[in-house]
Amino acid sequence: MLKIKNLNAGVDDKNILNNINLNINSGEFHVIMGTNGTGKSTLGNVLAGKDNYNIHSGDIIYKNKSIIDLSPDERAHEGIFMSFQYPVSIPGVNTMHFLRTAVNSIRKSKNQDEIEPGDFIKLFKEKLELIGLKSEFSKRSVNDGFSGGEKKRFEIIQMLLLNPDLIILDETDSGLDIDAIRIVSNGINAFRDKNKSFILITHYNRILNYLKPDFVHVMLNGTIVKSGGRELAVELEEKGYEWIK
Amino acid sequence: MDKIIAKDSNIENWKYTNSSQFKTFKNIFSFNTVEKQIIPKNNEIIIYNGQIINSGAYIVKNNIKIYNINEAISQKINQIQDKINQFSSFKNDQYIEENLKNYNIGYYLYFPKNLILKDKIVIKNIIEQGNETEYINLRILIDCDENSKVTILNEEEFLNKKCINIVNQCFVNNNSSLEIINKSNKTDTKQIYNFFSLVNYNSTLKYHTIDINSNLVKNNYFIDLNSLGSTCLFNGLNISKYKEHFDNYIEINHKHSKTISNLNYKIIADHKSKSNFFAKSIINEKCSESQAYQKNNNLILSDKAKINANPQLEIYNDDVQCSHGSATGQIDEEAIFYLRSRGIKLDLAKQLILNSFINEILEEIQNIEIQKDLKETLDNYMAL
Repeated sequence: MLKIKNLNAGVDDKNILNNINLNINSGEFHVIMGTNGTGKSTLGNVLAGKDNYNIHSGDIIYKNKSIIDLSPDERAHEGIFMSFQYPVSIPGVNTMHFLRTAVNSIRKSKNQDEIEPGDFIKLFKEKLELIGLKSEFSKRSVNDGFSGGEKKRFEIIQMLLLNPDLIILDETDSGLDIDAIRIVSNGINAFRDKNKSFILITHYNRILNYLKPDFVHVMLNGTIVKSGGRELAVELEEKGYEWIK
Repeated sequence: MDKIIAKDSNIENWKYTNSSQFKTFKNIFSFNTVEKQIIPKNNEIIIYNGQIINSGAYIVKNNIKIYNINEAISQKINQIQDKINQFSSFKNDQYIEENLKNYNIGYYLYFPKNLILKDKIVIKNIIEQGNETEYINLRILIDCDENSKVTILNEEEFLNKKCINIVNQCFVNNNSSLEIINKSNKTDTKQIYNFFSLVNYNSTLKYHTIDINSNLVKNNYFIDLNSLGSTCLFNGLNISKYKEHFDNYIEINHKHSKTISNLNYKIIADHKSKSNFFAKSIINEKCSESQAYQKNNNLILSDKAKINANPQLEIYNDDVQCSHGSATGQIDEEAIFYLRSRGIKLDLAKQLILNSFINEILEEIQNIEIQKDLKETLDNYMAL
């Protein structure tokens, strides 16, 4: 599904990502771990198409096509979704209106009819319940006044409604209490299938107990220095990053 | 008028507009009498080229009176001159003096005591005549008598190029609540507007103004909170485009203890337009336990647009609650990226953010019908 080839990218002329290579097949769940400031979130932003990052060399092939010239909305239409580490507050933009606009934008890109408002409300409320949020949530503005946990749950609701194929989860577990990690993990697990691929960026092993990834990669100084299975995360938690450096 | 400048004593509220821009104003425009039949809706008052044409059944039934301004003043209806005399100052401004001396059109609108109106009143003020070089001096008096509750939608439609000098004096008498919503279409109009209001005991003035689509506009608002419990909620939105110039000065004068003012003003400036916001809330010495809040947020959509924002508090009493804040910036790029990452195209993402910015002002208008109507007008205007 995703092939990152010799990717060098960063801000202006400065490289943050150095020669990244990563292959992700359909249905696989990959985890990226690493010290603070090592470029994990940059990789997420570059995959999602954020404007102020430049690709200096290399390529990102998604569903057999290069996506490096696609805008963030075009990438979303192709099925790429990023759950943000710090979701931005947008006061005055109602959560339900925003999500219906997003769902309809993606449907339009696939030449599908817009979803009926009544059907959308029903669907939205179902997802809110699944992720443990009250229906009053639909009256609030996007991420405005949300607690850290509410923001992360709202990201997962968006994932469920937009039904993407490649999901980048940027520190979805940070700011969540133990119960919330379980609820959010259940939501992600229920969404997994053989056609969907995940990249989870995290610092902690705890969420992996629920998500059971296929691969774990360690990123240091903007490059992937080690890859392995689930056991690598356990080892990192025990030993830290020093032994890899 | 040969000299068109504000007098030095009150130059402050003209800080951001060079009054020489109104130099084309020379003589007073003379209206031609034109017969016009416009059938009002139930809750409408129609004023056409300064003449009161007709009032709807709801207006008549509720004993709401509208008089020609000359008739009201010359016949001393409701001792109107005594009320006018209560204004301590007309700010020594030559435009105001000119209007008060030489007003040629206008009306006096009176809401009787104990009138609680469920429906809004719509004033449709249509001016078709006029030109680029001659003044229209429009004078308005609004008088909301005791224990009344009224909402006015003021729809001003000034067609074709014209110059207009307006003075509006508004009385909110004891235990009353007056809400005014200004909706205007004044393409190519050069306007000087001076609004004065006296808000009396336990009374509230809610003033909403949406300023779009003009050429050169200088608005001055002077609101006096005269008595115990006098309250003013001022809610404004100005969208400037192309080479338009807007200048809004708002002065709220707390003259009694336990008075409240809450000012929320937003500007969106695009293209090469210039928009100015200058607010001054004055809490005088004897005004303990008063509250004054000012909030101002502005968005600049183009590198060549300009916004001047100057919210000021003048406080002469320690026992008060006050705050003020002003922020001017561009559309938040992080918010745009967030929306786009969900599949929303750039133009639509910007529109969502602009709508959210505007909605905060519109949502202060309690009448849902007016709110929806304004939303539609602004959607269309922003899409231009």
